[in-house]
Amino acid sequence: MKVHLVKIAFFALLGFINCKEVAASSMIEIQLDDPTFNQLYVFRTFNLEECIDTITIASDGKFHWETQEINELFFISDKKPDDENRKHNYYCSVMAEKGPINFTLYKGQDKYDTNSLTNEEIANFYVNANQNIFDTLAIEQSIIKNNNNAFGVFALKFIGSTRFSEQTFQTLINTLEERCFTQFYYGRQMKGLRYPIKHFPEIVVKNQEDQIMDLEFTSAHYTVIDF
Amino acid sequence: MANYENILKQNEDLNFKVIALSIDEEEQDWKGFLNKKQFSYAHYLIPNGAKKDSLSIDVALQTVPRLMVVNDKGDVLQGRSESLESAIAFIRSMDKK
Repeated sequence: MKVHLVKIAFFALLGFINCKEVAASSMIEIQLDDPTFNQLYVFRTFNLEECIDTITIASDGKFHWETQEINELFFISDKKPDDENRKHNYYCSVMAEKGPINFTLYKGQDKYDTNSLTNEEIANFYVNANQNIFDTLAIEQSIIKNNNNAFGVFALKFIGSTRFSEQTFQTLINTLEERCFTQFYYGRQMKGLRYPIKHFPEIVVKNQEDQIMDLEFTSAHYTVIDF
Repeated sequence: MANYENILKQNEDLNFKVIALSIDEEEQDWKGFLNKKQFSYAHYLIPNGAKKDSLSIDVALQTVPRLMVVNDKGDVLQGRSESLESAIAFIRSMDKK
């Protein structure tokens, strides 16, 4: 419990460090080995639950997607967001690096080729994890080796949300330089190491007339909350 | 805080609303800002001590501005929208389903 509280406090502290996003784009190009697939989906989460975009095949036979969220991690798949039953044919995690990066995906295989060294490292990591090759020592060494780039942050996020014990998790945190957390967007998102919330917490708010009330969303089908 | 009036006007056909939630520590600053302009959407302040810590962890709210889309039950449909335009595009795509 104590360790857990320390962990929350640690990430809460990191959360207050305010860093500006770099105004640059990552131009992601994806090619599939099966040209009959004409749509891909972009997800925030590795288990494909929060879809944020749809990419349609372009006239050059490739998929192009651009984001300014440099160092953010996205997951791209052909699995439709509302289709719970169908297994995906393509799956790819993408760390959005500045400039053009490209990927070639292979049907039915959770692996891919890329010209991005960081993403290649992530691909190897993912393939190993997916095959239950989960050598914690090797992962730890990999994180240390890649400490100066965002891979460490990716790995920590991935394993932090899945299988490591509290103690191993703490060890890994200690191996990372603080800049991994503070200079990379995804690192800053790690604050709670929680899966993204599914339900907005119940909170009380105050209006301009100083009336205190529960925040409610029932007066419209959808509400955009602007913090 | 962005002024969304034009975008809202262009999307009046859509059954959605925008609410601005402020986590300002200084209530007077917040009120002063709102008094300067007329807004067609509601602005609320999360009072000091009212679950701000919980929000920071649950919503992973480290940076502002930050937009998210919820439905009428409070379910989070899009945890982080890049802009109001993209949030609206997302809502339209949900509406078509």
